[in-house]
Amino acid sequence: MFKSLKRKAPAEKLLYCFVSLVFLLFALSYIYIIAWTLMSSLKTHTEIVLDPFSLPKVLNWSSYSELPEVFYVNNNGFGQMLFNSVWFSVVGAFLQQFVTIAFAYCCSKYKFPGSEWIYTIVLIMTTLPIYGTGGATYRLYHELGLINTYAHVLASCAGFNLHFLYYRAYFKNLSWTYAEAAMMDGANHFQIYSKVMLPQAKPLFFSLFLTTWLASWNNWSSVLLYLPKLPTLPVGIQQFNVEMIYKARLDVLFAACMIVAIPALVMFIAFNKVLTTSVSVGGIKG
Amino acid sequence: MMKKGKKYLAILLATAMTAACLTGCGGGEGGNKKTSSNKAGVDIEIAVWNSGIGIEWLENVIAGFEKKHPEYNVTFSDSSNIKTVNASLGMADIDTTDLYLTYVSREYEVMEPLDDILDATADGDQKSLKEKFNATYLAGAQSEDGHYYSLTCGGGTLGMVYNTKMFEEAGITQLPRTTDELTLVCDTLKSYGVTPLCHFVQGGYYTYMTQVFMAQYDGIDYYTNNFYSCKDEAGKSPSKDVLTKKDGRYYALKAYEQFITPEYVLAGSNSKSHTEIQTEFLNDKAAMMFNGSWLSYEMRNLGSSDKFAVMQTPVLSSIKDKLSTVNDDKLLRKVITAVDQISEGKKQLSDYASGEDYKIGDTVISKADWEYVTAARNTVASNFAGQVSFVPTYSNSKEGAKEFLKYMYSDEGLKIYADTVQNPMPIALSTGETYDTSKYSAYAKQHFSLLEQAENLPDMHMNKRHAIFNAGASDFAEVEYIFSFCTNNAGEQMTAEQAWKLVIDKINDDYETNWLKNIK
Repeated sequence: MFKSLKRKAPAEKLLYCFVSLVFLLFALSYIYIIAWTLMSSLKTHTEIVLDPFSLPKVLNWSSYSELPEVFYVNNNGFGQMLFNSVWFSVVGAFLQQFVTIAFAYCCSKYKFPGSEWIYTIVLIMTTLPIYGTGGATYRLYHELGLINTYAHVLASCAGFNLHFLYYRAYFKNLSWTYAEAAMMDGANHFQIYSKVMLPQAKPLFFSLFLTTWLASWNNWSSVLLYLPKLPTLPVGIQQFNVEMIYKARLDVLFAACMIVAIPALVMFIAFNKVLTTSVSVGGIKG
Repeated sequence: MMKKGKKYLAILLATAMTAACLTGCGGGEGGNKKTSSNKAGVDIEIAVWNSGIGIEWLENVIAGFEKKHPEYNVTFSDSSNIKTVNASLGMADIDTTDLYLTYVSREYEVMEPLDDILDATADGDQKSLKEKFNATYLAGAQSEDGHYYSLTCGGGTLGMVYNTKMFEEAGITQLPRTTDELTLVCDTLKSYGVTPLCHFVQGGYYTYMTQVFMAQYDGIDYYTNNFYSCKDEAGKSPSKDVLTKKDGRYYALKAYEQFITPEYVLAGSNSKSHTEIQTEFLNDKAAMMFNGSWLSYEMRNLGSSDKFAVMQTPVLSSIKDKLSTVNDDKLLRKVITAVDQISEGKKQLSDYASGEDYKIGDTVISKADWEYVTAARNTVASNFAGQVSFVPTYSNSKEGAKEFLKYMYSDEGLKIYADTVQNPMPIALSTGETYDTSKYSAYAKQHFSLLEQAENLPDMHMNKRHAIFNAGASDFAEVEYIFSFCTNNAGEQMTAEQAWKLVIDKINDDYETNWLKNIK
């Protein structure tokens, strides 16, 4: 990196340094927030209020140890909210990708009446804002009995989402000769899909699964709407912020924030290549 | 190298996450506060606002009730956010709640009348609940149609909470009896280097102090039956003249103008949250804060509250306008001292009697003035109407919910509540005995004395309020007067005159075009 910089003109070097500095400051602003949250979680409530920027006098681990006792929202304790988060983000993201990829594969590789219309319908649906669909969606979930229930995860199986477009584009560009070769070997349609086509789409599937999981893990708006009695951790934090009015436990709030941030950080650090290389400026590379 | 570093960091964070998960999944009953015995019987589902008094009292009452009534199975859900508790209220097809213990005003169409509970005498009681209730509260709780739809189940008394250590160090031995004297105390504290007052976001609990000032100046009858009924002296209701009249609100503003100033109020009070400012107050950042009986329970995590005490809301000095024989603040303070001594049992009213009138030293105080000052002094700020119990009309277990309420308001239930919260509801015990305060903190005992002293509780007008107050009207037409008095921003700072003008302008603008139209 630095070798190539040596060959650059002075003006380019200056520009490069300036851009690097901007990105560095941007990165530091994110690290600062995480570091400040971690520091606050190790201070007492009084220390946080009286001197928010000072270092902890003594490391206050009680914010973490007392979390299960103090951090509860609408009858859901921390453990319950953690389970809800894992259930709706992991199972939900997997179901969503599993159904969407199968749906997109069928629509792109098989001709049936209305197959092209489906593409148009999905395009229109992805452009509709939640304000336009929220009321009808709530009514639908209510009628289906999916409000405030773990079965709400089935709502992820709709398949009519932005990822359909990515998968459809991917399969459109994937040659059908693979399928023909498999057919000659005696494979049926399901075997072609599961053993030939799906494995080739694995990187795309995994990167979209990760982005969906990340979005679901941090999502609180739809959980607040459809699952108020089964809050996930982000909803718990949002609600506990209100509960704080009568609890005076800012330390516990920050400890909960840290715990919620850790899985996302772990996943990003472990799979940042998948996330950043599979998703390019123009869309998903696959 | 970089790759290895990332791997190690990921492993470290994953370990932390696992440890955190195990911490979260560990024991501790607090994780799920719902009581559920999973036994056969009639289910009663309660939705409760987890306010400053917490929900421990409810857990204890439920335990007592289920012991006495094993045929019922009580569960509850709670939140500190009133909107969350009330989110499903009125949605009969999805709301399974049988009993609400929350803040709601005038939602009569979804409330079951509770008259039968008031008329009933609970097991072990000697009087009906109606006979036990504080008369002022009950009068305020009755709706226009004569029914009682909701009853208090929380709240408490309020007063000026002060730091005894700071007062002692500043040499203040006489607690302020009038608003003028309160200003003098602020001055003394300030000269001693202490910030006299604090509040939270745009005034905090000063709303309750204003109610007291209004009732002190205009009298509790006018306040309840005219101002909050929006009824003029000719009987016209609603009447715009009532809202634009220069009444106790104006004189409250004049008093605030003296002591709610940037010099006397802790910096940041206008923007800091309830929890932040109370934490600062408990850590000696200001000497006084208008607050309630629940303060010590609410902030119990922050340790002892022994250095705090509560004083009765000072009397509005402007009430002198209403008196013929008390013309200066010094004399008003003397009369208040005499009234206090009578309340505390140190003196008898007859000690001051002088024919039809009364006498302090050589000064004669007319009977009317004496009674006016006594009523003003014994007007106590409260918010008992701020948390109420009611049964939704669509409840599947109305009888069960009412049976639970009967127990909750029985002597046994009231004692459980008072022992847990350290502050009784405004309901006497049927046996005539007083609540056992021996285990109360000094702070809780002072609030109990306030409640006993109270002749007038202006907060309890809730059901006397005219519907216009639910249609947009309010005491000060939403003008943030406390915020305006102590802001350091010169552009937003107002005098009492300017604030009052703004109030009147807003009433003139909104009365016909919005409020009258919005009345349901």
